[in-house]
Amino acid sequence: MRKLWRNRPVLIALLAAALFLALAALTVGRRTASRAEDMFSTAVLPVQEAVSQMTDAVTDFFTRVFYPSAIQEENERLTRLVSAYERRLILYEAMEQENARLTELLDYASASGDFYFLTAPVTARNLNPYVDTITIRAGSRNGITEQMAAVTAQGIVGRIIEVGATYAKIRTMENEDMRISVMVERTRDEGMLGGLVMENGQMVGLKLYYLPKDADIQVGDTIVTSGLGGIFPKGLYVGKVIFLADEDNGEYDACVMSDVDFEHLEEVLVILSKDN
Amino acid sequence: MALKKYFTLALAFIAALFLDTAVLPKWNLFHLVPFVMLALMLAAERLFSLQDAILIGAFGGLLEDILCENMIGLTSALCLLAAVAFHQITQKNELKPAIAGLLFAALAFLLEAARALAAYVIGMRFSVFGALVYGAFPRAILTGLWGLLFLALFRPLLKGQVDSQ
Repeated sequence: MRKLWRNRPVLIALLAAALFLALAALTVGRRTASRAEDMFSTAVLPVQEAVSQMTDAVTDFFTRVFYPSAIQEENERLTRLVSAYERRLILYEAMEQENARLTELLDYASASGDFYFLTAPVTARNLNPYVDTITIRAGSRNGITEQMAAVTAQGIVGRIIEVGATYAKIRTMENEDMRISVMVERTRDEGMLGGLVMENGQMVGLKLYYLPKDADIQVGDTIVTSGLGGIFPKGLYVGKVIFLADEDNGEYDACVMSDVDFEHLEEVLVILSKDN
Repeated sequence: MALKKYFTLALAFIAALFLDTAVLPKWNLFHLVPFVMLALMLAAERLFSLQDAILIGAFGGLLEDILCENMIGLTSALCLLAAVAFHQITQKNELKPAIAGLLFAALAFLLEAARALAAYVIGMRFSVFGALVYGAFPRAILTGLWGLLFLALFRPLLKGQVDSQ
């Protein structure tokens, strides 16, 4: 074997490449990580998380040094956001009380009442930019299972596609194949969201389609989840309509912009069911 | 003496692993993320031997796949094919550093195209033109530059241990 390794490295490399390709074919679409993957990921994830945090610290430092105006803008944006959330909180409290009364009255569990949230730090992004997955440091030990929904305060991030003991991989909404059932908050018209609207190779938003023909949709309308499909609870914020498609565009009805910054996700909330 | 080479390569390997999976995807300048492990592997092939490149490509690709990907082994397979192609070309031709950099970039472009193809085959849908022109091409150029950086760093560090091809 040693002689073969010295004299025929090309042959060994080609054989190994063929084996790796076979392994790749076997692992496509697989839902649960193997024991070896689990062990390696469990060992490496803390270091990866530390490196990731250092990266964030360095990025923040350079942003402060070179873009002080960006910090000021960010500060103003966050201040506005906090005020908006405070107003919304008051509304939510009133709605929560009303909801509790109605739920008790009608004797059924509200959809959002069936879920708990788990906060998980993002430790890595995938190398293949066409697959759009991120890795989080929380797995089956934390109650995560496949197909669970991941969100942030800014909206929906994606759904869990693979689970290890201490980590999970999420396919994000930036992926062309992600589809979720949504509705226009104002008119309650239901439709489907998924697929990217592209301009010059850059994503500008997500396609909204299958709306009723008489749907009264307008730029600025808020899009929320409809609860159909069972993965995303009803009423989660998704994004806002940024433009309507031309009438002769048979592909989609409107373009929806998510507020989630997929490139700089640091934590996500995974929606756990009550059973977990 | 060989110890110094392996120590340096091991350090570079660990750095490349974390740069690829945790650091560079976060900085993500203009959506451009180079493939540092591939650059390291090709630089190792150029300066040392195909065997060193095979070890880096196989293990580096596999570990990065486990940490971030869904098709475990794809990156390793593509890295190994890139190493063999590079070896075949450099065996018959004397390359200047600039040409080596261009060859790094060309192989990185082919690898990115193969990744896009693999993603397409498993059902991902995206603009092929956008993926190649706005994704693969600039990533390949950056990977080529990282390869040149590794060549420039390793030569003085490992004086006397670099194969004079």
